[in-house]
Formats: sequence, C-alpha cells, structure tokens
Amino acid sequence: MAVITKELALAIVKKLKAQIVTGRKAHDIALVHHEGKLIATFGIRRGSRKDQGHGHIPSAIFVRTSQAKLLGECPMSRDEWLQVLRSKLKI
Amino acid sequence: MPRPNHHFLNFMGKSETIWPREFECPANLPEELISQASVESTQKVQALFLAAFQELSAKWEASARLDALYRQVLLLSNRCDMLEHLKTISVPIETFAPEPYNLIKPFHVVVRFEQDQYIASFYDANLSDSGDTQEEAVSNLKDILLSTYDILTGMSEDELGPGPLQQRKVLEEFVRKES
Repeated sequence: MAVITKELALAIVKKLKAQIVTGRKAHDIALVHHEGKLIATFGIRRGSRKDQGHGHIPSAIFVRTSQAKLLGECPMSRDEWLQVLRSKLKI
Repeated sequence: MPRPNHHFLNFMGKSETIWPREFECPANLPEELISQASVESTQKVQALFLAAFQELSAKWEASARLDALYRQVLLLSNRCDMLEHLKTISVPIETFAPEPYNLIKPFHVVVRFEQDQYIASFYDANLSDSGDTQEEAVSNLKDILLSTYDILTGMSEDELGPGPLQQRKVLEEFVRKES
C-alpha cells in the first residue's frame, strides 16, 4: 500500500492549514500560505478510495516521504514544517 | 558370544524388538537355508535392486536438478517483474490537446514506480503527480501542471514565495494559454 494515501494527504492539508481550490479534472489543489505568500501547492486526486496513492506530495511540500508521513500522522507540527522550509530557503 | 541387541525406541521412548529374536541377524540363519541356489537368487535380487536403485537415483537427481532450475527461473522472473516496475522512464510531452493551452517547447517528464504507484515528475517546475498506471500518472501530471499554471499566473509576484515563483517562471517557459 502507498505510504502517502489520500487519507494522509487530507490530514496534511488540515495540518498545514491549506486552502483547497477546485482544479481542472482529476484534482483539487491545496494551496499553503505563510505570511501572506503562497509557499507550496499540491494536488489531491479526486476519487473515493482512501488508499489512493499521493506519493507526489512530499516533493511538492519540500520534505522527505517520512517527514510527510509525520506531518499527516501528527508528530510534526506546521511550525516544524515551516522550520524545514526555512532551512531549505523556501520561505 | 552375546548377540547384538536389536531394538529401537518407539515414539513413546520405550525400547521395542524389531524382529523375533531367533532371526535377529541374517548372519544367524541356519546353515542349511543358505544353498547355492539361494545365493544366486540373492545375487540376482541384489543386482536388480542395485539397477533399480541406480535408475531411481538418476531420476531423483534429474528431478532435483529440474526443481532447482524451476526455482531459479521463478526467481529470475520475479526479479524481472520487479525491475520492470522499478524502471524509470522518460516521457516526452508534446501537446496539451484538447486543453486550450499551447506548448511553447516540448519537455520530458520522468515516471518511476514507488510504493505501489507510479509517480510522474517534471523536476524543473517541482511538479509531480501519481497514478495507478504510467499513463494515469502522466495524465494527472499534465492536469496538475495546467491547474498550477492557472493559479500561479493569476497571482502577482508579491503573493508568491520562492518555490511557487520559481515554478511559475519555469511553467511560463513551456506553457501559454490560448487567447
């Protein structure tokens, strides 16, 4: 089973306080803002399967798969994620 | 001279005699039973037994060899399947048709298999998407690429952080919306 599932992707959306906008066909787009600027975007695939793979999300939010999993499962906070982005000069 | 004590331990650990004590060992058979004829018969039986044994051994060896080969083929087949999945391929993107977007110049996306799914990536723009098949992953990537283009070009530069700003610059090199 995929590590980053749709269920986990939606948990990441919630954790990062992302704004969801309707995409074109197959996706909704999650937009993450910080201090008034858009800092990351990623797609949430439409479909009812909770185990649908979302392995593309880690690179979109500039973290490793394991870190994305931590974000979705709770141990990593939004602030800790922002710290990672700061270290990578993404904000 | 004491005869050897032929016995074995049964499954309960109790010692049991294998055959009646009077025929405990073939060497103890009465002399009169060992005639020339019985010796010849015994030799024939021994020869037949030996031939049958050799034939069976050869068959068993051949069967074991075939079994080992079968296992190796199965192992190689599994590894081929795995490598087929792990193979990274590069897919050229030459059109966005039927979407109303022009491709300024073609580019390649990389598709890889990872954790039960295919992930298509356009690394220059840091855009990726997944799918259950390679085709679905590429199709999803094209979809997210155009959605992202729409969103980013609809915002001013001041509203974009370093990542999305870079994404927009790259996308504008490759995509233009039809007027």
